[in-house]
Amino acid sequence: MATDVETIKKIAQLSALSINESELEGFAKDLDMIIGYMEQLSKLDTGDVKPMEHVLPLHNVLREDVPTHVNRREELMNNAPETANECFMVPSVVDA
Amino acid sequence: MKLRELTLKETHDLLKAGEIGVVELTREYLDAIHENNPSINCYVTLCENEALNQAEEAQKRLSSGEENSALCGIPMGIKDNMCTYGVRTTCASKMLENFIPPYSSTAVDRLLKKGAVMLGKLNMDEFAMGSSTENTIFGPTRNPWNTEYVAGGSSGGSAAAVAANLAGFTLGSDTGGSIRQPAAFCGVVGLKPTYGLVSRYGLVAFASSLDQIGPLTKDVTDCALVMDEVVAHDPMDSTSVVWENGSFTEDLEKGVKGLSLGLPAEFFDSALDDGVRKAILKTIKLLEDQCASAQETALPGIKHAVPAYYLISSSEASANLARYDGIRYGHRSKAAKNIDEVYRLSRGEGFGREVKRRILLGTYALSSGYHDELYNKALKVRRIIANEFARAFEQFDVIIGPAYPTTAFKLGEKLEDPLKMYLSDIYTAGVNLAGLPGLVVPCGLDDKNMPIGIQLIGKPFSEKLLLRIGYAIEKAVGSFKALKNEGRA
Repeated sequence: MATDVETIKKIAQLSALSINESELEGFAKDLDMIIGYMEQLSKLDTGDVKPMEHVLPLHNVLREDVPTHVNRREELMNNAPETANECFMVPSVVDA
Repeated sequence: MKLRELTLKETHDLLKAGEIGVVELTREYLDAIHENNPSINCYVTLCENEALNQAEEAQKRLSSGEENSALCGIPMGIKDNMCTYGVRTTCASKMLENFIPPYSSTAVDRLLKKGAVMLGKLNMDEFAMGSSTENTIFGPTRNPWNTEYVAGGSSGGSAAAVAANLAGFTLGSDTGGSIRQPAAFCGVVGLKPTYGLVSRYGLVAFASSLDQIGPLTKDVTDCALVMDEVVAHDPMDSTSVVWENGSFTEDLEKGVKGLSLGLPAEFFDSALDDGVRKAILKTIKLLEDQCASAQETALPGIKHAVPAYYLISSSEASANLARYDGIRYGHRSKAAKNIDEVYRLSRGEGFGREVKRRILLGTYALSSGYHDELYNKALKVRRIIANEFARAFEQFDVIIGPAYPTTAFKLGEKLEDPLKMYLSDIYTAGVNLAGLPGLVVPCGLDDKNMPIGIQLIGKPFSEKLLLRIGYAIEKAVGSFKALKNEGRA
């Protein structure tokens, strides 16, 4: 199997996603089937075709650097799960 | 006849003549939602007071002649992945269950400024990932034609609301078929515009190089009227383009004489249901009767559209959804004891199964060792598909075919087999990969009395041509209302 439970654990780690033990097997089976199907692309001769990230020719869009923003600090902060003194609260990130 | 059974255009004419009032109209829609939403489940948030206030305001602007837009005073519904200032925007996810946007998406904002009345927010597959509006924390949306069937997805709420006359029109979003497939399942008109035509500012991002907002309406004229208001260059979206081709309504009645239609063999293969095939071919015959020419063609790359689409869209999604970290907004796990757990547990609890599956798939495709073999390969296939379409448009004015291999399926029928669900996106996903416009118009009913939609695909910015052909189809096979009377008689 291309994607087993160990692979799922590794990708879940890369995705910062906790997966319940009971779901690991199911995801491994699903992804094995899906990726197995997608590997049909590797048999395709794409020669020197250039990868196409985007359909539009992307270019930088420049504008004058003038402040335009409405101050919505309170509305923005209201969506945060936890705040204190107008700051977002998170668990301690440095060891005491 | 009930007011809410009228098309947007018919409603506008009555409003303008002063024969009906916006508040009366809005109340009729709200009453109908209270009565019918429990069985259809298209609305997930209702904005009753705001809608009535907007209705009063719109009436004043209509009466004084200050606003002449066809949308002024028309009740609308918005897919719940477009930010609406002060109105909860959930993406049908536990992650955003309590998210109140501090701004409105440009598309919604433009409609509100023209006096459209927002009745509420519409159900969808979580983060627009799905084809049945079953992956949602609010429970599935049901097809108004028969509630044992799905409404399609991911804009299932947007399609069902129009089909059940619970909105004058709605907005949906389409990343791989999410406007066109539910439009086909519910017998309404749905347009996925050319990439860049409608601003994505304020649309919760799924796959940024594929996402596009578009209207779902009762008929083709209504679709053109909504496009007239929703299309505009937006400095807030760096991929927004300028439309300089005039009103979307002006070519509707020009007919199809002399137009050439290409029928790709890949759209009519053995996967296509017989009933759908018959209805599509019959409709093409009706266009030929009006002196359009139809000819078979080939788009061999389309066979690989589904794997390329799922690799690219999931890769982009895995990056876009990295922003949900449980800190500034969105769900935060109560069990998290350190910062790493805030990220991992909040995301694990906040995202549903299909969203997790796509994040895992995308992360896998982008991870070291697989990036070239999967993601880059998919991008090359994307160019092959886009080039094939471009070549086809040297020979044909439009590509025509089905939107989906079958009509609506039953609730739960495909839920346990994700790959089977993905494979059916074969006729829609290539259009997004190439950034093209795609219009779905109802063209008949199958033997179970469920609607069938026909899809028109054009070169970039050919929306007016698609609408013109769609209009001719509607005139030939009968519009939504006629279809509905036939189906329910």
